[in-house]
Amino acid sequence: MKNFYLKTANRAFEGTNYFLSFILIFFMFFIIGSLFFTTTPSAFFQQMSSRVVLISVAVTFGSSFIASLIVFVFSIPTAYILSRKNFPGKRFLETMVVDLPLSFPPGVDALILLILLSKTGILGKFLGRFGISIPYTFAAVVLAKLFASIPFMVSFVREAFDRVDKNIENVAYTLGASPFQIFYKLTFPLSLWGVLKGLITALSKSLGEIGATLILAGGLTSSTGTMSVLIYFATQKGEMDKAIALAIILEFLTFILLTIIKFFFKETDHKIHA
Amino acid sequence: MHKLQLINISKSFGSQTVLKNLSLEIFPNELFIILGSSGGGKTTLLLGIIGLQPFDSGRVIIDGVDVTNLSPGERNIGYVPQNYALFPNYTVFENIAFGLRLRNTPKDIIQTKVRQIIDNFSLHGLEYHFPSQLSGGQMQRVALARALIIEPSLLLLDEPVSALDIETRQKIKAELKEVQKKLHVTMVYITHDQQETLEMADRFGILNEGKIEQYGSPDEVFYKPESLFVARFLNTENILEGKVIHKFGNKVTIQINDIILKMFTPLELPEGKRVTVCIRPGAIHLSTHPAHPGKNVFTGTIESIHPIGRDLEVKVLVTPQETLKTRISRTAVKKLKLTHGMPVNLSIDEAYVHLIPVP
Repeated sequence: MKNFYLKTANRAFEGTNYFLSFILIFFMFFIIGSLFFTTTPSAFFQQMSSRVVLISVAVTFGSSFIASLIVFVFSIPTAYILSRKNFPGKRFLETMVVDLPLSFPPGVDALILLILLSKTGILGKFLGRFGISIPYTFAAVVLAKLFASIPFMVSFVREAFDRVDKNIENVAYTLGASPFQIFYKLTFPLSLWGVLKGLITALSKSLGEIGATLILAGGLTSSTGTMSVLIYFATQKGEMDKAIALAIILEFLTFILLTIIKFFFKETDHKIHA
Repeated sequence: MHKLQLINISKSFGSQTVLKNLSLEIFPNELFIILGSSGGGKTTLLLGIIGLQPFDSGRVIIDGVDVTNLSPGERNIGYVPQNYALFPNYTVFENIAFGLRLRNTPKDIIQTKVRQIIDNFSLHGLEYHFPSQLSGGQMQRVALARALIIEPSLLLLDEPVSALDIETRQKIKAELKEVQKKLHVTMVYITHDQQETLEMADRFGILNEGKIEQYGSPDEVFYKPESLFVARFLNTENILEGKVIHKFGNKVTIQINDIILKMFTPLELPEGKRVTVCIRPGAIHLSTHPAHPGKNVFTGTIESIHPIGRDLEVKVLVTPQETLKTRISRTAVKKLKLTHGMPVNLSIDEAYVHLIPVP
């Protein structure tokens, strides 16, 4: 009797898993796939060849790459310190750099930045002396994307560093390695998969970012009009062909890009953890 | 020929003191085991010797040189952690060559030395394998080769065989002993396993509450525990409370309830002094023949027979208050047809009876 209940419970568990996963996967495919059937090829290609669309592709990918590169450079040392060092105020720092930005909408950060960078703001005044103004420029797009993706990158990389066996580093110390040698010969290569996950998430967040970009960069000029922002404006104006064409291009290019990165890193990672 | 001295070592974590004024001397070329229960500070001691977790106070001296303030790399100590910690992103060859490359050793010397150690550790054919492709025993050998190739003054091993299956463990233990003798390496080895300690150690020390409670050769410590803690920690089978009722020169008579034990002791024990009597099963001979009355011969009845590893432990009730435990082989139990309640005779070899004065 007990066996019967156990078998029934197991079947119900398996069945529920398959059923709920199917609904989710179907829903995702339906949403993404239906995008391709909501426009005609001629309308799509017409939009694709328009200058505004092409510039927005360049602005979106250009700003996202620059933002991801900056995030990469700054996140690695920050994550390393958070992972390896103990110091007073560490928890506060973690909350400020990772937890708070993750739970705050990026728009809030952008609003604060806009105030700071405006002509009357502390940073704006300082930069103004050198003739530099950030808001509503390409730099503002990069900055908006930067703030949207930093907490993800730091969080993923820190977790990857945490997972590296401390004994590996300890042995390397006894063999005469310096902290820097240990980092570039062992810790970083062994965290590569986590770093990649952080980078992919940061890049994805950057590519799709809209709230902070709208607040800080506006998106009305050709140098600040990212694809997400243009999709939003096109939808508001009822230019559905343009919005759909941009959405298809954004999805397609993002998919290709992430697949290439994942494939490349998985090959490298496989050699280590086979 | 390298010697290690630890002088007044102390280490605390917050309010918890892990090591208290610990002093110890480890002789050149010996395999010294630090035996202690889990969480007793063994790893803290090891990491402190290596320099990875500095002690709060005390000195670490290797071959007369104070290395207390040197970095781990400058101490020239080889380290094999419990999980071997092989570098997963390097091949076996690269793992072994790691320390030499850091020392900018010329390529041809690296090749020669690595090939030689690969020969010594029977790692042929595995040079270009990654650690994930190795068995537990192979990983252990690579970890040893990687630590030894830099010709360390001292080799520290943290429970090096605990993660292995019984067969591989026996093999690796024998190999470790062989390496130690062949390469004349001073080894410090930590473990919580008594059996391993008795098999492997030239000398060992028992770590208790941050101090080395007793140290010496396995025979010395195993048969002559200096405190009740050591006797209990080493699972001395018969620990009895008694008192000295007669003393003449080195000869003493001990009364343990109704048992009267006569023996020689070098200890100064006045009549009336309370003592803890430790008797290992090997010192108790069991027979079914009628006893010849004599010194330290007792009659009793079998209370229980339990399997202990390959042997059987026979518990014999010798007085209403006292039982004595002895061990005999399964075949001897069958041959003597021992059963519960059967009368037997026990004779105790006084040479293996050890007395600890009760403070």
